[in-house]
Amino acid sequence: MTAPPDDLVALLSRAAIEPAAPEPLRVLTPQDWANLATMQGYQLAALWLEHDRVLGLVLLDDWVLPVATIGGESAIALMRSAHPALALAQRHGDFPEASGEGIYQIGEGPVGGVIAEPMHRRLHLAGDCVVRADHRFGYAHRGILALIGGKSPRAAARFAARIAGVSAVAHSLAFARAAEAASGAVLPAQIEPLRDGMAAAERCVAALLALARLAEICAAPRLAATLIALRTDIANAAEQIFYHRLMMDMVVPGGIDTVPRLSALPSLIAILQSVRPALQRFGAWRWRRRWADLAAPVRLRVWQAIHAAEAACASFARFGAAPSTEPWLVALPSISGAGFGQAPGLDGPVYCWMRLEAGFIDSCAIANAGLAAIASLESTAPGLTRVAFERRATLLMPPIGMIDL
Amino acid sequence: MKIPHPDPTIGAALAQRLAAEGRVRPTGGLAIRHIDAGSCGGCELELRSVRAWQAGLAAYGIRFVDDPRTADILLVTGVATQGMAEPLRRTLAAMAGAKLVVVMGDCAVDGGVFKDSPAVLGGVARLIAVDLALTGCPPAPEQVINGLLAALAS
Ligand code: SF4
Repeated sequence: MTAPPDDLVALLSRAAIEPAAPEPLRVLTPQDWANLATMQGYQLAALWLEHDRVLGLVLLDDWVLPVATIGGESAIALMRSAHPALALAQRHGDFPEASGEGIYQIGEGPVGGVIAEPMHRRLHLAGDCVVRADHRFGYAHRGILALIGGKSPRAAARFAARIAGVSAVAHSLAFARAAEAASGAVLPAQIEPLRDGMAAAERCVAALLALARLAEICAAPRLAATLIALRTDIANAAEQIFYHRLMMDMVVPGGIDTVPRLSALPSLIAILQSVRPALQRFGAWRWRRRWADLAAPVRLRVWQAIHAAEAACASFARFGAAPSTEPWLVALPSISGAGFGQAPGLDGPVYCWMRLEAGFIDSCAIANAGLAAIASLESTAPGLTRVAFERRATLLMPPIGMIDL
Repeated sequence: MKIPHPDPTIGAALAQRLAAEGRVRPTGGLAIRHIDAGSCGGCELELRSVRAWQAGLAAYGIRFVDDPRTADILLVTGVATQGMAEPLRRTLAAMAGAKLVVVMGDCAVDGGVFKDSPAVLGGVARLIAVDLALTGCPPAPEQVINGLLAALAS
């Protein structure tokens, strides 16, 4: 294992092999990193070897671009998308050309094609068979890291919560943990189990929605409606407790922003307990023939939903057993320091690294291991029919907000 | 989902405005093209719940379409980033119908928490004329359905 350099810009702890990961992630080899580091304009800022995995951050100009567990071209594309100048430069062209007899291209984007998302997908096809799939991002860059810089962690938390609505708690939690680590804040015992429970409930919702999306495109509207109704019930219960259907803005550096309405917690637990029977009753199994080409990822999403629901219930039970007279929110000491935070997301951890100067954010990087799904999607595309590829993309594509910070 | 009655004043105000501008109101239902102009995806989560209310939407003649050329309403979520300005304009230009623009969520209304970022335009109205704004971060599904029904009633 290589020790991290003294002037460590970030330490991205362990590789993103959560039980939730949909595929083994492509991980850069040391040689890949060496190649990356010599690319013009890029500078390897931090490198951390853990077991057989290499994770790190890259500097481009003054931008810290998190690149974790993402390999090859996608890593470069994602780095570019995080940088506004390059995001603009890559908006047109820059797609590799696949040549050969009978190969043609289809472009899909927010104006043409069926996708309403701010991204550009280019498919090379031979007949109905995908030869190559590429994605380009950058359209939805909101300047989040720049907005976070210079603010106190508490003031900046609302930006972290809005990186991606489907993982608002996970991003907020990683951000909060980084700020707490950087400032040396010590939290009351009751906080972490509650925050863990919220993050797990959110993962359950994300898995249900991924399945619902698939049910929609597989013409199984009743199943989709059942899954969405379950998600809506969870959102309604979450609103009762945390005053927000997506639980946004509750997890903040130092604890929980507003005293939750705990009397409503049992109703959320009851809904989460109904996830396993609901999925077993209506579940993916009955619809297996419709998505035979996706059996493994569908099974995984079903398992994720059940596992996350049960993890949430277990965390809420731990929370119930913790002392409840302590404060919900502690002030962060206004000191200088750096810290690393991590929180589980649906397809792997969310990482956050932060450096504070006298209590204000001097530098911050946020990476979501779920982005590795894009590399996996592209690398497994060749040979699939277009329909099969689009189903796969529907199930695995991470929200664009996670990519275009 | 509990759908309260839409606020008639919203529909009336919209109708008045369309008449004053000499614009045609949508007839025979609403075909909606959704576009994400830099959203966190939270508004889309609620939009999924709206779309799941299929039978109810169909009863009002409301449907979501993929092709902007067949759409009456452009439903925009997200902050309107610099990068999405051109796709937004082009999508609106491609629409042949009544061309109502409905913005959903605080981001689309005025940039929301991102309004100070140079990477965003600070709301869809900076780019194209907006007919109806649904505030909230994100707006609840009932609120969105009410807004759409009000647009229909216009
Ligand atoms: S209004 Fe809120 S939920 Fe909707 S896109 Fe903006 S930040 Fe996300």
